[in-house]
Amino acid sequence: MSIKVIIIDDEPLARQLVKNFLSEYSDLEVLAECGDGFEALKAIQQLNPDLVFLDIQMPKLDGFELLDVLPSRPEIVFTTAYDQFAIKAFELNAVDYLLKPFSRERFGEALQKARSRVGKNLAESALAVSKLQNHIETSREAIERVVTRLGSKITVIPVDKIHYLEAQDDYVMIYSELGNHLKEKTMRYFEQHLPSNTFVRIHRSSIINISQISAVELYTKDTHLVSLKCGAKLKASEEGYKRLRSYL
Amino acid sequence: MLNRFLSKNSWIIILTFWVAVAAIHFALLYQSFGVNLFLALFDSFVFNSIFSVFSVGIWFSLQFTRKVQRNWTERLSYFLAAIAFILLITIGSSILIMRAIGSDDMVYLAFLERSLTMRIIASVLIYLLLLSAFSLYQSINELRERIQREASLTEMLREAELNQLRAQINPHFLFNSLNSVSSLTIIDPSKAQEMVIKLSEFMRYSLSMADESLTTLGNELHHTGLYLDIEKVRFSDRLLIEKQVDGKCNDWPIPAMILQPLLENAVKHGVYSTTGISVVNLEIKCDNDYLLVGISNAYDPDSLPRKGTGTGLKNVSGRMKAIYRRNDLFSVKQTDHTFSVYLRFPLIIPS
Repeated sequence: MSIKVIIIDDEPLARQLVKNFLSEYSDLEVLAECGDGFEALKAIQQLNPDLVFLDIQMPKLDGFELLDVLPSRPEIVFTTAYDQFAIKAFELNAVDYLLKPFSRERFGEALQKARSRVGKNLAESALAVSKLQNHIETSREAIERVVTRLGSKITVIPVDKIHYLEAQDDYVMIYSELGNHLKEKTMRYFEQHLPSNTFVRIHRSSIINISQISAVELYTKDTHLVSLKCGAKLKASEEGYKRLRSYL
Repeated sequence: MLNRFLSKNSWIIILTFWVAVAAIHFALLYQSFGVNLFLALFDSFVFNSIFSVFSVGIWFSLQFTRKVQRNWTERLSYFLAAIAFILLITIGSSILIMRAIGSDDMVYLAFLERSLTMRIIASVLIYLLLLSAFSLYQSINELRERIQREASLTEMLREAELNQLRAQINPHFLFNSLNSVSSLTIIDPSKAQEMVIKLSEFMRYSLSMADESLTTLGNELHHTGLYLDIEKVRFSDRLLIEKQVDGKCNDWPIPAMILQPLLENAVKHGVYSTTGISVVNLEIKCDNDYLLVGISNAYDPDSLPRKGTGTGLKNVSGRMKAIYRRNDLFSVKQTDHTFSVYLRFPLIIPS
């Protein structure tokens, strides 16, 4: 059985090098080469590869964002010039992390590791997905954009274009200038990762962008009603209103 | 502080002061009060030499109170205690000594009794005079020191700034370029060689240039051209460079490695914000007073600024300020789809 491979890198010569190193092995088949994250996402979904060589810094959608919106993940070997992402990559249970420029031998080692994992690790890749989720939940880095996927349509929403977010069962609905998008994440995740100087959780089920507020009025004894510029009206709990007031 | 106080000039001033005081003292005793020559001399000498020795204490008391930063009432009581102590010692001991010396002269002994109040008043006045002279001297010293410290701080700050602003080669650029070379060694060895040579020449230029070293526009353009060639190999047809350079400006003096960070910024923003072709524009012209450089790139307003960008711009603007000591030479213009940086280089560079 041959192993199906996709190479993702925004530099043509870097892709060529991986392809060249791979040509030594007869049981590997390169299905596609992609120069950016969107192209890669489409290719992975359509071609369902076993193994992906992935650069991290790419235009539009970077390597990590790409993984975040993938419904099911192939084995990943990261190829990058920076060592600063190595820890994150291993937390994502990547097969290996190749620092550019890398030798043929080092590349062979990575391939060896990948080969031992491909095809026999359904349980492991389920674990990998949960690890990925876990990693994203726990790292406290502020995010600059949210990437959502609906079928094959990917939307990248810069956080400052978000009006507000609302909990919907296991999902969060993101209302933004670019429309409404569902994301499989928790409210807690967004509360922790959206820039805390512009986003406030005013209720168990809603987070708002404070620059979008047009009016705040008393609703019942304990609750307030927050009106946003986009026309939405949201209830603020007693606690949520306190948080909001401390910002304004 | 003490060393400064004891400088040669200070000694001469202090000595002159006390000789003058002693002379007046003697003259008063001899002329106005009819004390005999010998005793008047001794009186003046004993009294003033003891006073002058103890007056050094005034200087230390000033230093002390200044250091511990007491409040005004505490300071005042401290000085009162000091003056009482000094007067007691000075007048007490000098009277005792003069009694022994002038023990045969009843007239003088009577005068010694009578003159006590006058001596106290004179001593207090001299004490106050010394106190104000010392504190004035101390204030001037402190002021001078502060000015010196500030001057050296500003200089240190400027040096630190320039050090920090040292144009550095971005490691990401370096390693990705080496990766491209690695790839070229397989598919096109002669192109790999060409790229290694260009990379080396560019790196040698950037490493050899100290922060304030000057070069000509022509030389800077040659080396940034090497840099752009390498980037074009990395991104192939995704990167397009458009240059409009007025050849007559080639000898204009500019700081070395000042254009490269801006071009790098433009390349990075352009290439990472679009999956299509990105264009970087370089326009250079000059008149009698200024060399004008404009660097612009198309960018996608929807794509967010990448982390770590902006430091290149800040560095260049900081270097322009530090080198030319003006802050109107660097400007940035942002429209919906283009980002431009403008630099003006005066002909004269302050030394």
